[in-house]
Formats: sequence, structure tokens, C-alpha cells
Amino acid sequence: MSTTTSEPTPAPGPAVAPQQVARTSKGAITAMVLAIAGLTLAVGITSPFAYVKARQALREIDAAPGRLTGRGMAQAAQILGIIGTLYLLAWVVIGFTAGIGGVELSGVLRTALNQAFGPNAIVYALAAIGLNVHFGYTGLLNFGQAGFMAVGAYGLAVSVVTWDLPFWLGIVVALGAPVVLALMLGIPTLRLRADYLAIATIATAEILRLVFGAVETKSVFGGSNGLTGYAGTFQDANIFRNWDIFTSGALGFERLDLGIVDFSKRDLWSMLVGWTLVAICCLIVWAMMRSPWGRVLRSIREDEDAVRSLGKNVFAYKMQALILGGLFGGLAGLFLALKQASVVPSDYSTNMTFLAFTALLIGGAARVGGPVIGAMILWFLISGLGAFFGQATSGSDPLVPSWLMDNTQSSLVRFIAVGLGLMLLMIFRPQGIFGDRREIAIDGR
Amino acid sequence: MVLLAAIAYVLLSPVSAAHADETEPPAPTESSSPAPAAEPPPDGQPYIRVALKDAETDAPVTGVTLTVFDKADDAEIGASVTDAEGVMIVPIPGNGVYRVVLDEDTLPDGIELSSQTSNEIEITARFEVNPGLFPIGVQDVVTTPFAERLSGSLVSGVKFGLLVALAALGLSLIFGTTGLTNFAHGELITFGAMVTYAVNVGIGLPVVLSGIVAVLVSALFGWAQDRGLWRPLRKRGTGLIAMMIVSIGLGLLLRNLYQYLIGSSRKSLSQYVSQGRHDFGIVKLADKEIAIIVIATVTIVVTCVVLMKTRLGKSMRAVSDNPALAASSGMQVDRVISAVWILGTALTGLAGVLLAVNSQINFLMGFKLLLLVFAAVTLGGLGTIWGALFGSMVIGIMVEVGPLFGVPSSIKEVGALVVLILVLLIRPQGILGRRERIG
Amino acid sequence: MDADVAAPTARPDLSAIPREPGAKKPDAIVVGDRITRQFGGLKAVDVDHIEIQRGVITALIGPNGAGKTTLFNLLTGFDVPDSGDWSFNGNSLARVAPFKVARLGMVRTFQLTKVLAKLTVIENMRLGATGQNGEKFWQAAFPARWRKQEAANTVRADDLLTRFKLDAKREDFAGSLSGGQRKLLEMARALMVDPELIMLDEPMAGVNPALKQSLLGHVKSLRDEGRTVLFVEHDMDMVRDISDWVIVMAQGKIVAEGTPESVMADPAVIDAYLGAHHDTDLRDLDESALEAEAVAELGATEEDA
Ligand SMILES: Nc1ncnc2c1ncn2[C@@H]1O[C@H](COP(=O)(O)OP(=O)(O)OP(=O)(O)O)[C@@H](O)[C@H]1O
Ligand SMILES: [Mg+2]
Repeated sequence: MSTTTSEPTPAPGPAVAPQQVARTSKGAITAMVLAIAGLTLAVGITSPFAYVKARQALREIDAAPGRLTGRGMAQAAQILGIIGTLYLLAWVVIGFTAGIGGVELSGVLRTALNQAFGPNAIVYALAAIGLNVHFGYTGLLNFGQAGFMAVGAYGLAVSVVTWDLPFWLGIVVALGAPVVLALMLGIPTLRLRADYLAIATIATAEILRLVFGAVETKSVFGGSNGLTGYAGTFQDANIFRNWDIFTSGALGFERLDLGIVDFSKRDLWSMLVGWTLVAICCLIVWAMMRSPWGRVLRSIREDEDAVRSLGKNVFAYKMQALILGGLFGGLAGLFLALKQASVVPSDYSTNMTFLAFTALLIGGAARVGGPVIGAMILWFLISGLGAFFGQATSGSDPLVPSWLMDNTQSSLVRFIAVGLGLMLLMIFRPQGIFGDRREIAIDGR
Repeated sequence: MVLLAAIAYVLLSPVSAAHADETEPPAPTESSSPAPAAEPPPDGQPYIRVALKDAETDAPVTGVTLTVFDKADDAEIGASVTDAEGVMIVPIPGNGVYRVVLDEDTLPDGIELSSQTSNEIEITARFEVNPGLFPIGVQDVVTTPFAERLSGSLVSGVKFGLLVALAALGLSLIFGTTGLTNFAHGELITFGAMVTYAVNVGIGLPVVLSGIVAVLVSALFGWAQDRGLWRPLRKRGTGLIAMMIVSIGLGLLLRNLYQYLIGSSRKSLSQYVSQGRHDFGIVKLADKEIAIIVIATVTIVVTCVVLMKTRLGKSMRAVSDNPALAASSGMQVDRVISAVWILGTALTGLAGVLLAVNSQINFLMGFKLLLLVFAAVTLGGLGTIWGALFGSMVIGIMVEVGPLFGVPSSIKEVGALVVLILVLLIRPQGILGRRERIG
Repeated sequence: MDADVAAPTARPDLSAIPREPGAKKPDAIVVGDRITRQFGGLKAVDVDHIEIQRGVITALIGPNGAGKTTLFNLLTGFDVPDSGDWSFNGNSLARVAPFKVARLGMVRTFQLTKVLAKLTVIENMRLGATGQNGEKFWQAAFPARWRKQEAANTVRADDLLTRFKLDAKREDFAGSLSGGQRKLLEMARALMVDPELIMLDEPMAGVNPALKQSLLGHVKSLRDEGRTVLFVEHDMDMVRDISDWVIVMAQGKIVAEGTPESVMADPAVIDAYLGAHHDTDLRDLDESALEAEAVAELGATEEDA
């Protein structure tokens, strides 16, 4: 076979000489650090600075197109800066008023922050990282992530409870099950058009949920009550068990109080394990997506026929992506099963997949950190709104009159808000907080 | 007619079981105290216990699935199957009102519920001992041949298929002209049912009038949705996947809004709630079921004629074939799409109305149907009208007839979904669909 | 490279080949038999016998809707024929997946360009390279395994970009390129695969005349490197200028074959193109009108897509 007769031609000429090596804007990095510090450590005090710095960085980047990257980061820092500033303002308000009409804002904020860093956010972060591999990078519309989570969770529970296998073998089964599911699901469906794939995966997840919860399979999966009693090994391994950092909380539970957030012993252990898992998954995604392998995935997202015409086995790449993302989903289910020590079929509903998608889109698809930030923000909002309206509708003289909203209804407001938020996000900022408008997975325009 | 008695106890502690017989109110039918065979939970957790017995022969009715729901939020508490003694036990978290649903499909061969009784009972669990007795009339039809049960399932399958077809037609029309895979479509079904309920129970109009109002309001809702949301998105050039995600958000919003408005329990209309079935030889149908079948069939036929024969129908098909070409040949694409939304949501709303008349109203009723509607549309080939009709009938009949052939009836939808995946495996474009052009 | 282009190259001697549909070639790289493809009632492709000579530039021409693109799809595995078999270098390709066809050395471009819009131009190019370690799942996470290869591919890609005058666009997103530039990028990317046979579906549609001239040179240089070129084109000037052999399709069938001169004088070809207007010689045809027609058609189809 012939080769192109190209001699390596060094230094082509003065026009190309200043090689445009794009580097990340320093200002954007600084802004990001300030913004994160504001949200985590500094009670929002650094957030206004983050906002200002981010605006500067944005102007710099736009003035030098192609030479500076990090526009997404600067934008993210800007938004996080705004959130942090609001957070700071909220603190100021609390300091003065200690509540509005019976609603203790500090309590609301505490609940929201607890959830943003707590185990629930981890579950959704892991699930959304998986969806990011599927949808963000490869363009596979997997609406059955709940199914992957379910087989992960049930893989452990069934192994230990029904089959009496040792815990560690259960973990192996839990990680193997999503791989098997990906293979079984992928072989028929990966050749389908995007919308067909969405319907096929959503149907598979529902089949799994129905079968796991069915009366007929109760002896294996425990029916609608699910399974318990497999997580002992995990709870026993809690390294915080004998630490003397906990104080007795409201209901007699031992909690670690950090001022703005507090966590129980059990949650703290779950969080240590969970955030470590999240970090590892992000590292894997980062390493894989910067490689030529990741480039093939992104190309498949754009146009799979073009990739085929260049001699790449598109089906195999899609399958690899489905397995990798499904494995992250299975990990999310496994973690959920461990942290709440029970698996219940109704947890693994389509709504869970939709919420994981929402988390991914908030953070920004096709960004390594997008799903993580997204899951945190999602839980911050869900639990914050829940706590706020819960308080606003309880008591003898509630802030919101009871003819408008009673206490049961108040728990629905947050999901109404999430639905509305998802719509607005998709319409006005489809790239999420982190995404780059020019390089987004979804053509939202 | 042989009647069976079913007795349920709500036991908040095992001790209270002793009181059960003493406080039992006189039952309208002969009853016997259940033999304690199913194991109660060991830790003194409260539980619901139901015993099914044949009043005539005193034989326990075994193998029947009963599911317990929390009445407040409709969450499933648990399900169980009656054991050799005809007893089943489901632990409950505490006191409250529970709903026990008997799965008629799991009744042993030759036994079915008599026409006057519902397959649902409500149990209030309080702290004091409060055993409740309630009769479930059961008709002894020991000699029902398989063919007769098959014909019965087929007819309910056709009825269910027609309801799915109305919704599927709506989905398919909207998909065909706009390319939108609408994940909020289930909520359009619920919308029709909700409006019927609001007009019927809230304002007090008769059910038939309420249904008509609901279809009109659904059509208006579709028009408003297109004008207020989808058309502006199309104008901005929003991608189809982005629109699909918008529809997921809209669905989430509407579902929770519905629950906000009517709560999570099931609601009934003021008329036609329980009707006796007439015996037509091989099938038994209630008047309302006949009405549902007739209305759905007529609507579908009229819709198809409209789509095939009138100018509007032709322009709809032209737009769905090639919007750009339709626009350049002077067609007002936006008006056509508006018309599609109006027609599509009206059909879907009608499906909701008929479902409400058929059984009850619940904020999740449409969402639960959504996958089956998708399955139906996909089965036939996305975007083709005949495909949607064909797929709906297949799905409807499969769901209803499946249990006769061994599909566990508590998960009878699974069969339809499995078929969906199998069809996609063999014919990705659906049974009546066309392949796309490459290159 | 540029030196090659300037050098006048002698056309291979094809004079011994009979000028008839389905003519046998002395050294055929592609041989196909009884290939048919039906869309509903329309027989889009119905080719009895086709051979493509190795090492020459073959043009595939024919009126709109003749079935040229469909034939490309069938040969490269992107579409499945109702019947027929064909081989490439002696390997039978019937029911072989498109990516395997490409790996064997038979690479095609698309009439409606398929650039990867959200990747940069240089990344589009790098994707084309074959046998990359970094594209393997288990090696991707370890840059040490692929960095050198990537650098070598980048050098080759930059070279091709310069050849196709896209070097200034190196870091731009491919989605920001103009229609003509996309055609160029797609062609350059296909060359990254280092194909033995390159199949170009209307490579010049929408490319400006000046660049077209230099592209013609590139296509000729491909032949001089030893590659075989099969291309679809509506521009008769270009066909006459660079092709060694012409195959004419109409209504799915091959109606004529021969050297450019002989084909353009063939009444069957004129028939196929013009139907009623029998008396015009194809050479007198207003080419710009033909081209405008092709472009308009292209525009219309792109709009649907
Ligand atoms: N997927 C398809 N479904 C239905 N008909 C098709 C499909 N693909 C191609 N056709 C039809 O097959 C015929 C041949 O099309 P093809 O694209 O091969 O023509 P062509 O020779 O490439 O034309 P042009 O020069 O205009 O590009 C046309 O009539 C076209 O409408
Ligand atoms: Mg063509």
C-alpha cells in the first residue's frame, strides 16, 4: 500500500511560527478556586470576588480567541460565584432576622447543604457520570440508567441474602451484573436510532423493576418490600466508629456538627467511601476521554456513519461506552444499596433516571465534573425547597396559607420546580453550568 | 350463585388476633374464622391479614395475589399470595387507611368475582383492635372452558388496545409532523381524566357532558402548548433531543402538579362506577365497556378518514413527509402543526376520559400507560398512523391475554415490553416503518 | 507533493478495453455482479456487471437519481442490496460491515458531507488514522502507549491539511467550515486512512473554481501514488479533464462505458441525460446549467437532512 510522499517539513514558515498553543486562563482558575472556597469553606465570603474575577477572565478569553481556554470554567465560576453570593446574603439575612414568618432559613440552608454533600448526591453523581459517558460523550440516549442501578443493587443483595454468598463476592456480582446487562441490552439496541434506543432502554429498566418487585419472584428478590440484611460488613468497616468527634444530636443520634452542615456517623462513612468512588470515576472518565478512544466516542456522537467510513467498529465502541457508563450506574446502585442498607424496587423507577439526567444537564454534559456539580446543585435545590416549603406550611400560623398549600402538597413543590427548571435549562442554557456552548452534546441552540 | 367470604383483619399486635372473632360484625354471607397459617411478622409489627374462603364448601382459596396500598399516597406497601389455608399477611408500617386490591387474574380457574363486588377493599387500621370483615362476592364458574376465558381476555384486550390506540394516534401524529418524542404524552392522557373529574365532581355536570368538555379543554391545551412552548422552540431551532428533554421536564412538572391538585389517591366519577355485566354468551360486558369500545372505534375510524380524505389530512401528511418542501409549496406549516396538536391532544384526552369512566382517576394513570403507548407506536413504526393502530391492538391484546399463557399477571405489562424489544431486534424500523436513507 | 502535481502524467493505456457496459478490465480492483437494490417500486440500482480498473481514475456519471450514491452505499456496505455479490482485491464483500470494508482499503466520502461538527479540524483528521493504540479500550488510559503514534499521525494530518489549504483552520470546529471546506476536509480525512481505493461522491460540488483546479491536481496525484480513484461528478469538464475511464449510469443500470471522449459522443449517454432533446451533443451542453442543477438538488436534499 502506498503512503503519502510527505517529508516531515519542520518550521513551515513565519506565518505558522507562533504556534497557537492554547492555555487555560489563569484568571478562570483563580475564579474557580475562589468560587469553590466560597461555597464550601468560607461561607460565601470569597464568592463575590470569584464573580468579579470570573467576569474579568471571560473578557480576557473573549479578547483572545483560540489562545486562552477555560471559558467554561470561568462561566461556571461566575455562576457559582452568584450562588455563593446569594448564600452569603442568606447568612446575613439569617444573622439579622433568624427566620421569616416561622421559617428558619438557617435550618433550610443546613438541610440543603447536608443533602448537597450527603450520600444522596453521591448516588446521583455516580449515575450521572455514567450517563455522561453514554449521552454526553457518545450520544447514546440511555433512559434505563435506573435499570443498571437496580442490577447493581440487587446483585449485592441477592448474592448475600438469597444465595448466602460472602459480602465480597456480592460486590463482584454487583459489578458484573451491569456489564452483563449492558451486553444483553446493547446487542439488540445499539444499532437503533437514538429515539428507539431511548424507548428500548426505558422499557428494559421498567421490566427489571417490575420483575424485581413481582410477587412471583418474591423468594429471590423479596417482592415489593425488597431485601435487607446484607450491608453489615460495610457498616462494620466504618472507620469513624470509635472516633470521638460526635455530639449527641436532636434525636439522640450521634452527629458531627461542622457549623453549617452536620452528618451522622453512618453518613460520614458513606460519604468518605462515596466521594472517593466519585473521584475515581471522574479520574477514569478524564483519562479515557482525552485519549483517542474518547475522540472516537465524541465522533460517534456527531455522526456515526462518518466514523464507520473511516474503518472504526462503531458498534464495538458504543458497546464499550455502554458498559463503562453502565458500570458507573451499577456502582451508583451498589452505593445506594450500601448506604441505605436495603433495596426496594420502587426506588429504581424511571423518575430516578430522569433526575440523574437533570443532574447531568445542570452541570453540563460532556464535561468531566459536570455530573458531580450537577448532582450537588440538584440535591441542594430539591432538599432546600423541600425544607423551605415544609416549614412554610407547618405550624399553627403557616407562612403559606393552608388553603393554598398544605403540608403534603409542600413536598411536591420541589418536583414541580425541578420539572420547570429542567425545561428552562434545556431552553436557555443547554450546555449546563460547565459546558461550552460551541461544544455541547445537545444541539439546544 | 355461590358466594365466598373473605375476611381481613388488621392486626396491630398479635395479641389482638384473639379478639377478632368476638368483634366480628355479622357478615352478609357465611364466614368462618381463618386458620392462622401464614406467619405474622415476628417483632409484633402490625400487619394486614386477609383470608379467602369459599362460603359454600368452606375450602380456602389459594394462590390469589393481594396487594396492599397506603391510601394516602398510593404507595405500595406490599403484596402477598394466599397460602394453602387461603390466608395472606402483609406487614404494615403503622395505623392509617390501606387499600387491599385483589388481583382477579390470579383467582383459581373456575372462580371469579361476582358482578356486584369490587376487587378492592379499604381497611382502616387504628390502635384499638379493629378487625374488619368485608365480603367479596365470588361467582363459581368452575366449568368455564379455556376458550371462554380466552374470548373474555380478547375482548378486554381489544378494549384496552382501543384506549391505547387513541393515545398512540395522538403521539404518532405529533411525532410524525414535528419529530418530537413527547415524554409528557402520558400527562395528556391524565389531563383528559382530570378535567372530566373536575367538571363532573367539582361542578356537577353529568359524566357524558364532562367528557365532552374534557376533550375540548384537552384540544385547547394542545393548541396552547404548541403556541406557548413548542412553536417558539422550533423557531429557535432547538434540536430534537433537546426538545425531548424539555418534554421530560414538562412531564415531571405536570405529574407533580396533578398530584398537588388531586392528591395521590384514586378518585371515582359520580356515575357508572360499578355496573353489572351483561352476559352475551361467550363474553360479559358492562354497558360502559360497550360504550367505550363504540366511542373509541368510531373516533379512530373518523380520524383515519379525516387524515386520508380531507385537505387538512393531506397537508398533515405532506408536512410530516417533508416540512421544508411543504413550506416552499405554500403550505402554512405552522397552522398545520397547530391543527395536529389540537387533534392529537384531543384524541389523547379522550383516551383519558374513557379510562376514567372505565376505572378510576389517578395522577399517575397516564404515566403508567406511557410506555405501553410508546411500545405500540414503536412496534408499528414511529410516525405511521396504521402502524400506531396496529401496534396498539397488539399491545392491548398481549397485555390482557398474556396471563392466560403464563405471564405472571402482577406484571402483565412486561410481556408487551419484551415483545417491543424483540421487534426492535428484528425490525428496528418497526413492523410498518421504512428505513432511512444513508449518504 | 506539489512537484508531483505539476509533473504531467501519462494516462494508462485503456484502449484495449471494449467500450461497452460491464466491460472486463485487465486488472480489476472491484468486480461486482447482479447487484440490485429496490426502494418500494423503484429499482434504484440494477447493475449486471461492473469492474473498476486498478490504478486509474474512474468517473461514475449519470443524471440525478441514476443510483450512483446508492451504488456507493452498496459497495461500501452502508446499504444492503437485495441481491448480488462483489469483491475487492479478490475478497468478497457481500454483507461485510462498512468499517471492515474501509479497513480493507476501500474508503468513501459522502455526497452530503459528514464532518464531525463539534470536533476541531485537526481532530477530524487524527480520527482518520488507522491502527491507533490509543483507540483501544485497555490502552487509552495510558498516554505512554499512544503519544508517539499520535504525534506521527498529527504530522501526517498537518501535511494533508496544508495540501488541502485547510491549515489555517486547524483549530476551528469543523462545524464552522463552509460547505466547500467541508468537502475538502472529508476528502483529506479519508486520505488519512491511507486507502487503496478512494471513492469520492461529488467531491467538487460547491468548491470554488480556483481551488477546484488544484484539487484536480491532487486527485491526479493520488493516482500517481498508486491509488485507485472512483468518483461521482456532474461537471463534465472535470470528468473529461482527469478521468481515465467513465461509467455511465441511468435508472439504476450501467448504460455505457469508455474513455471520456467516446462516452460523451455515445448516443445512449445523451439519451440518458436528455431524454427528449436528442440532437444535442453532450459536449455542447451548458455545463454551468448542469452544475447549477446539481447544486440546487444538493441544497434541497441538505435542507431535508
Ligand atoms: N433510502 C431510500 N429510500 C427510498 N428511495 C431512495 C432511498 N435512497 C435512494 N432512493 C432513490 O433511489 C434513486 C437513486 O438515488 P441516488 O441517490 O443513488 O441517485 P444519484 O445517482 O446519487 O443522484 P444524484 O446525482 O442526484 O446524487 C432515487 O430515485 C432516490 O429517490
Ligand atoms: Mg448522489
